[in-house]
Amino acid sequence: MDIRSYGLPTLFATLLHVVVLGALLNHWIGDTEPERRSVPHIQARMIDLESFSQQVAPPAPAPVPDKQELEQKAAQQKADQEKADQEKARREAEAKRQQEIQKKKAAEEAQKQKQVAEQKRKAEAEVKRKQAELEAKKKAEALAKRKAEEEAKRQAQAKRDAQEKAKAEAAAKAKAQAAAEAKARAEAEAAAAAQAKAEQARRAAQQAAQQRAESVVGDIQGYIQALIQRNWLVPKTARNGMEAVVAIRLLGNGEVDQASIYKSSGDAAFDQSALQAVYRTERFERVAEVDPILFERRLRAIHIVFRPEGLRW
Amino acid sequence: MRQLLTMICLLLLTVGARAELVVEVTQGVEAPTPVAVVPFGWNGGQALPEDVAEIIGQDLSRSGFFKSLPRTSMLSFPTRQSEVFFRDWRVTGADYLLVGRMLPGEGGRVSIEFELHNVLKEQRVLGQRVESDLTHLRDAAHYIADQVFEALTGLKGAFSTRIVYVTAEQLGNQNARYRLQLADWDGARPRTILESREPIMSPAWSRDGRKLAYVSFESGRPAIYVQYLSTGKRERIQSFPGLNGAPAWSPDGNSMALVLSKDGNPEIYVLDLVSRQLQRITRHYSIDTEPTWSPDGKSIIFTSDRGGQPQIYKLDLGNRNLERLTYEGNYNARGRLTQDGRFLAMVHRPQGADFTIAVQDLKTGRLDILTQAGLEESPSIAPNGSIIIYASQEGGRGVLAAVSLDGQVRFRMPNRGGDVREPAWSPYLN
Repeated sequence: MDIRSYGLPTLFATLLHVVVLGALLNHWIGDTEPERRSVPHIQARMIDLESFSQQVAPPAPAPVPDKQELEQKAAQQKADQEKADQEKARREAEAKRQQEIQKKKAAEEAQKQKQVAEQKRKAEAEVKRKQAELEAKKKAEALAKRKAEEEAKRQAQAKRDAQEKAKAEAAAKAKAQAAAEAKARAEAEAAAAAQAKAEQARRAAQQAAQQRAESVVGDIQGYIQALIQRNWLVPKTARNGMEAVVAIRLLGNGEVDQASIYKSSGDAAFDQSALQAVYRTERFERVAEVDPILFERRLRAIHIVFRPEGLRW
Repeated sequence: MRQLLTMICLLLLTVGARAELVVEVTQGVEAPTPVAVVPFGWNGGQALPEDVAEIIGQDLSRSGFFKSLPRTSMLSFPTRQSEVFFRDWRVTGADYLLVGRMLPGEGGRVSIEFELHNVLKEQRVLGQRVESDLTHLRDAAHYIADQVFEALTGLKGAFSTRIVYVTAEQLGNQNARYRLQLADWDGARPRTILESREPIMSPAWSRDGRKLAYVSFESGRPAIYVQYLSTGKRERIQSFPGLNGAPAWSPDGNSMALVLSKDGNPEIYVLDLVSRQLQRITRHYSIDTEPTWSPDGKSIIFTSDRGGQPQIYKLDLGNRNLERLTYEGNYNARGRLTQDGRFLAMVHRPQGADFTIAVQDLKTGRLDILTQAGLEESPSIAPNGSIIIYASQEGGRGVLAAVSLDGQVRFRMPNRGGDVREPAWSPYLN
């Protein structure tokens, strides 16, 4: 660092300090009465100053010189000088006092200015605060408005959402219902189909059973017919076109339990011959081989129709 | 609850019973019903003049409806139900069983107790006690046969009816004996009710069975007589010039159809027996003869050769409609109707053959020849329509024969001499 480079600025700074000090001296000595300045009327609210003063920090205590040992040593040396120095001290004290006064004045002035500045600052701060408040209010209002708007928007959105949700829910519900219905329908259809299939199977089984039964019954029918034809002595009074019906009841072993004329031919000999054919047969042995249930249903009671064909007359 | 269940069960049963299995039988065995007529018990000591059971069995067999079981096939001879073992009789093949016993009474009286049983059903059908005497056992037998027949067929038996017929006996040149004979239906017990040196022809029963009408030449020319069977009293019906013949009583007995040739050629007339009014009913240049009445008395059946050959015609007495009944064969004559009016028995000559007895079903027109071709003549039908009696030739002599209406049973009657002709079956006599 080159000292020369800072020589001039340092000079100027010293000069400026001297000027400012001279100006201040003039101010301190000459006019003590501070210039009253009109304070612009401001709108302000009353504030608690104490609260303010508390905010102001107390002045720091002056430092106590701690040079007792040093001064006792020097006192001896300096006693001589005391007198020379006393004068100097007095001037210096005077200067110091002047300086102090000026300082005090300046401090007061500074304090005053500070107060004014403080007040100004306070007013400004108040304005600022008010503005801030206003702004805050505005901001709050705007915020509220925005909030309201947002709320409205939110609500609308919520509503929309709700609607949409409801709609979606309804749709979902409808969909679910439709699905459920479809499912139910499908299930019903499946059940119906299953039932139909079961029914068909049952019917088929029934039909098969019935066919078997019919086949057995048909066999027995032919068997009974053959036996009766062998045992029927056609009487002389029989004529083509005559018809007698004999009702017979069988026992499980095929034996004839009862026989009676169910429908008469009108000819006693013819009717009697029909009954005799049954009595002569006495027992239809093959009936005993038939399943008992089928026998009960189809073969226990039989009608035998005697209707001769191919007779001479 | 149990009652309800029972009711439901019964209902189901009745519902089930509705759909009964039906078996149709259209064929059978065309054979007579086997009957066992067991010899009747008799503890009267002396032998009986008639075998009652034998007569009954024969009656039943000859009807064509039954077949009497030969005694050799019988395992036992029960005389009452307590002695009957139905299983035995079933084994022998009998459907019915007739058992009986005869108990001697005072002065030749006989009590006959008989029972008819259904062997297959093991049930008594009929039981009766008949009072008779030793000389009328045959009548008793016929009576019992009638009872059995009616019980099993529903038709009245004709075993107690009679027949009349004419016998001719050539005793020498220009010497003949003509007799009108009355006999049981089977030809048994014949007795002469009129004897003449001149021909006797065309005997006919009144519908009540008490009188006979016939043609007799005893006066030298043919005349119609009526004779009462109970008294033998005779009377001559109004006689006309020419032919007087073939009398036939109307069913109500008030009129008589006959053949007269008083107007030129033989024609059919109806004579009112009360008013003696005569009515001519045929008018044709050909021969009309052999009239017989329909059972309802509304028409007359007769023989006419108006078609070129003898054929049988039917004339409605109400509207005078004439209907030809026979078309088969070149000779059909002497028609006789069954009592139900359905069957016409006749002398029939098939193309290129001899005379036979035939029967025609008037309902269907079907004609059945019942006898072998020969010189068969004069059919007469039993009142129950079961048998036709007729005259036949055997060894150059006329004999009586009978055939069941279906031709299944034929038999000849005993001939005690002479040439037998023109049998006539009586109506029911009781």
